[in-house]
Amino acid sequence: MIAIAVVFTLAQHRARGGGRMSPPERAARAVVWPLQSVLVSGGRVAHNMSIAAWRGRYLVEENERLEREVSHLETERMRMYTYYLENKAIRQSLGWPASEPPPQVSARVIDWSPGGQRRRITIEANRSLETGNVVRTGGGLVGRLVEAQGTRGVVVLLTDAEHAVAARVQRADGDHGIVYASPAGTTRRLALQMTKLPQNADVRVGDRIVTSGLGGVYPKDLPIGVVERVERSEVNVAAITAYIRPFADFDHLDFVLVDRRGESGT
Amino acid sequence: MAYLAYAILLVLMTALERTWPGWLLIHGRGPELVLVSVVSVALCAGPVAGTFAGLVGGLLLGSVEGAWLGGTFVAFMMLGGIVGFLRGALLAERVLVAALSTLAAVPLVAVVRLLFAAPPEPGPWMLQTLIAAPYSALLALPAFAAFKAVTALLAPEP
Repeated sequence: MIAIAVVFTLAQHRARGGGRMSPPERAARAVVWPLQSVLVSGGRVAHNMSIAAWRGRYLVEENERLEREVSHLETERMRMYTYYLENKAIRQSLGWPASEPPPQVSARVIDWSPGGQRRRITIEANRSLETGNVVRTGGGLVGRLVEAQGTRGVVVLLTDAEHAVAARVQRADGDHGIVYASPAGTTRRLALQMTKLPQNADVRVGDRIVTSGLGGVYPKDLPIGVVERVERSEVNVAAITAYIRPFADFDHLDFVLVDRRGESGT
Repeated sequence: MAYLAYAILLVLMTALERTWPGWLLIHGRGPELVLVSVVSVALCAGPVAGTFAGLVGGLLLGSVEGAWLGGTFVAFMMLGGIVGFLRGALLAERVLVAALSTLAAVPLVAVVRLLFAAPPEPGPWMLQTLIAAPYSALLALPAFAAFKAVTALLAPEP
């Protein structure tokens, strides 16, 4: 058994050296992931049933509220579509290249590492995924796929301590910086922080932070979050840290959207 | 046959550990069910079965977590082997012993795994480990019963 463990460990080292996953790891995931998918579905059904039993009388009320909200959002969507068509026509008349949104697939979360050393999730979509795909919710950026195996893949979240995103303040001439996970001890709500801002950076509470597109890992202008606190270091006043409340709710990620940029050619 | 049943239960436990419902998490932390399983197998069936459970559990959990397999193998196989060896001498084959062994094993395994992959922040790591130990020990009660039933059914001792 020790020999098997050594062989598997060496296989993993060799595979990771080439940026791949070893056959034993692939096999283990192929066995565990489908079961996780079933457990997540079962858990969701049980959770929904318990909510229905517990809050039965509020559900009708909530349903009516949501129907009103859907109706309102549908109107908004139609308005946005009109703007989109106008924008498209203007771009065409100016001879600018078309800016098509990338095709998206929805995926559900089947694995997470609660409180673990790394903040990663595993997702399952109904189409094959590719490493590098950007993952988001309707609200904001979640992270990107770092491993893909068929229709399932591992996503590194923005809240991973080892992850960084090139970002900027969403204003005309907004300052650029890097968004990291906030250090331990920061309130859970302000899960992200923006540092490496220029000395005279103009960052204010309420500013929206979006991806800058620098480095090419993430496309430009994906919403990340909103600034809720700005701190200047007492030692070095040039060092500014902006604490960000992410738009995506990292504590309740059940479903996400995967941007399949490769398909659109953007 | 018993080993196959242990492996199947370990797959189930790995999947359960990684999909533990959010509303059952304590401070964002769930129980370490794979570790509980390794301790249970070792207490029920001895050091060889314990080491086997450590090998399978280490492979499954390490692969799903994306961790270095070397660390998980060393931590879990040593745990299975040591608990299995102590089973005849110090540790009785009882559910309470399984819970107490788990309580002690969670921080020990966390420290061994720490040697292979250091956490980015020590504070949260310590807090998470302190929460996981009693939580896992509590879950050791039903888990041990399940592994004991499987052992009695498929590998009855003479």
